[in-house]
Amino acid sequence: MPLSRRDFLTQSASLGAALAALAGIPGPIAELLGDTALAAGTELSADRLRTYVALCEAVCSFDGRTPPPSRVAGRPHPTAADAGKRFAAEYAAQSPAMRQTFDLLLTVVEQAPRTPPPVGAASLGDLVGYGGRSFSQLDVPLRLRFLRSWAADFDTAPVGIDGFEDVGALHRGIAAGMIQLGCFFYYEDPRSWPPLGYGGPWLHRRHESEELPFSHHGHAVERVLYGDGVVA
Amino acid sequence: MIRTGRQIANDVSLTCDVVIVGSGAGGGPLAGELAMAGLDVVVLEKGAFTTAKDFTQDWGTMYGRIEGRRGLGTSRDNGINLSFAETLGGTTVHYWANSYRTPADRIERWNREFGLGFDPAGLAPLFRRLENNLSVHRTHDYLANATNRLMRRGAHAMRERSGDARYRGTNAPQATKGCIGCGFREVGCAYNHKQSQLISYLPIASRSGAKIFADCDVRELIVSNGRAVGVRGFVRTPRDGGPTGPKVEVRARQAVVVAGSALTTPELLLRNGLSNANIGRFLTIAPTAYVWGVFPEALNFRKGSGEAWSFDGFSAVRRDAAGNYVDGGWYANPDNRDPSTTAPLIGFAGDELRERLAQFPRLTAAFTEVDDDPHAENVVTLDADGNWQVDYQLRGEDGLKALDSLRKVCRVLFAAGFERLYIPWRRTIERGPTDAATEANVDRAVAGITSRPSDLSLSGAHLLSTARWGDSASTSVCGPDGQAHEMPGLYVAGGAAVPTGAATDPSFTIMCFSLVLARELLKPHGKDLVKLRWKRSRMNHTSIVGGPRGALGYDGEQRRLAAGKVL
Repeated sequence: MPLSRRDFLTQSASLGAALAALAGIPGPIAELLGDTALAAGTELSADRLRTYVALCEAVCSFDGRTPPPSRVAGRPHPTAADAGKRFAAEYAAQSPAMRQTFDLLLTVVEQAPRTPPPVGAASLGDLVGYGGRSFSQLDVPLRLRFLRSWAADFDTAPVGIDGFEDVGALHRGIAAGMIQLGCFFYYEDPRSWPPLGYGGPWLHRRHESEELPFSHHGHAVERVLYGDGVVA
Repeated sequence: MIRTGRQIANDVSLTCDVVIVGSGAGGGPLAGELAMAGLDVVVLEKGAFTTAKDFTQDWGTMYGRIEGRRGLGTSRDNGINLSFAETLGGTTVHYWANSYRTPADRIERWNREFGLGFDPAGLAPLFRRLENNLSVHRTHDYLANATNRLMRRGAHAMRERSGDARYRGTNAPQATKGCIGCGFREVGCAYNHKQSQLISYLPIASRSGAKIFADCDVRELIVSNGRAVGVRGFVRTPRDGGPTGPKVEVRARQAVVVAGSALTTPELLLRNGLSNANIGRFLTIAPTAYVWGVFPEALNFRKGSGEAWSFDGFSAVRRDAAGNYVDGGWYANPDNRDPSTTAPLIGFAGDELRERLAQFPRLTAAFTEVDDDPHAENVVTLDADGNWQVDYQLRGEDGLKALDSLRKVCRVLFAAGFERLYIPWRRTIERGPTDAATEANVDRAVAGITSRPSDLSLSGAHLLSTARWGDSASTSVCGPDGQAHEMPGLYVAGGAAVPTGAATDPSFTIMCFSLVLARELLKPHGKDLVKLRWKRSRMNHTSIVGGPRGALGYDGEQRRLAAGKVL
């Protein structure tokens, strides 16, 4: 049975609540539903921004030191590359439904490592390693371990909630999506490009350091295209 | 006349001959042709009016400007990214301008399965008209990026080695004028050379008197005595989450045409209570999987046009005597990506991602597209808020096609000289000491993939078939003339109208359907579309200039490679 987005939100939160109840701990995920359901503002909260930057550090291979260095081996740290700011801007520009989804995903990512049985733990060793810490409190290798386990090995984790038939694929999709988000807003920043040898858009290049089949200079000429003088 | 949301201060109420919802590959040609023929046309587009000045050549910015759901649309299980444009000009603003005529066997299939009654000879003048109007021509090699040339070389090597003639491809026919090969066409041509609807049919429509409104979200069909007679909506800026502005109501004397994407068209029909059981069903997306390759030398695959050559020899399915799937049913294309889209798509994280992106100058990409099953229960429905949601699973043979495409594209890339490949999900394939060992490595790696969408990191950019044309209400939503079976006056164009995948890039097929519809809508006016004179515009006076003449094949390529200029 396919899941609607609303079902997904509800059941994910139910999953969190169930897991929290199993552990007998006050459930940060259990508080999730009310939080996300009421998410009406357009600003990304500081907590979720912290989770996003922690995610970005892990995905883009930085060590998560506090305060973060501006550069590591020539590469700008996600904070220096404004990855969090870019994500926050995208968050603000998105529809309320998508903001709600972002809120849910970031909260699940943040809380899942300390909510047994943990999502993203393929072994007892993982569980011990997480040590009851939330995602952003984990060392970077453990954050990565968590994401990779979640993405690749979710089949082995017990779920057992009726009606949640394709939970493995769903959660792998979430983890893959979070990894993609984690690197997209970092590598979107032009400061992340020079270490890769990428020169950026042609429009921004003052001089042609590389040969194109034809010059791109002088081609962005405005022309009157529409009958009422609108220029494209 | 074109108006953006910011220019609309008060409620708008208009009456016209034909109102068209959507301005992309479906709505644009229809608006242009009808307006040129003298009909009073209104176009309502949900997206913004972005132009060459807005096209920054970086994905991060452009996703938000021109993509539906700002580039973050997915299926409900988050397994598949769904890409479609939401801007004036629609998908033609972000497409590669590849303009393949619909393959003859696909038209024959539509006639057989859906009773469209399309006569290939009757469609040919429509394709010719589009080709003339959009300056469609075979892409020149010197405009293609390195991946195109390498894939072609690899396909040639595989054809020699395997004796399988299907290892072949073609230079893509593309709708461009004076392309300079910058390689950023996919995020909007900043030089006005790609012949998107934005600079081709829509300006012609505007000059011919059509009224075009951007930032206009149509939510309601106006129905009178069972006939569609208009639409209602409102201005919303920005389109995602912005406040609603003035109301827009347009009444049409002849036709209401819904020409949105294959997601937004059924959304509008379902939201208005249409009851045909096929609305939203049978979604095809041509699911896409990526292969990344590391070449021994710097390629700089960002330079030059991606998708200039198409690896299309395996587009037909081959079966054994018992009818079981053997191979084929897909096509593949070279690609080019900047770091912000390479990083998410390559499928690694942490040190693995950093190390792979450090190879960026030597890194390149190809993607495969599966001709997916048009009878599978992949559906567009409405969520509780009345917005589209998609359930899509890779089913049955489609999974096998995806895996077959990965195997063969990997072989082609290794044959082209690549030393290492990355395939979903976090799988690395090394070149072996022999060709046989390399192929064994490929087979082993691909065999480790399941056909679950999230394992394949799939996306879909060619969304079709959710309100398809056909002769029976039991299998289609509209008749062969594009008119909805259940509601006179309501027509569907755009990707939703096409009955199945097109077995190639469907953009030109979508446009052809619009010209078929235009021909039908002009009949009551006694006008023959193919005899109407095309109005020359003052736009795009540039033309193809320079470039090598004669054979554009391997010889010239080798010279340029040797000179270190092309790559």
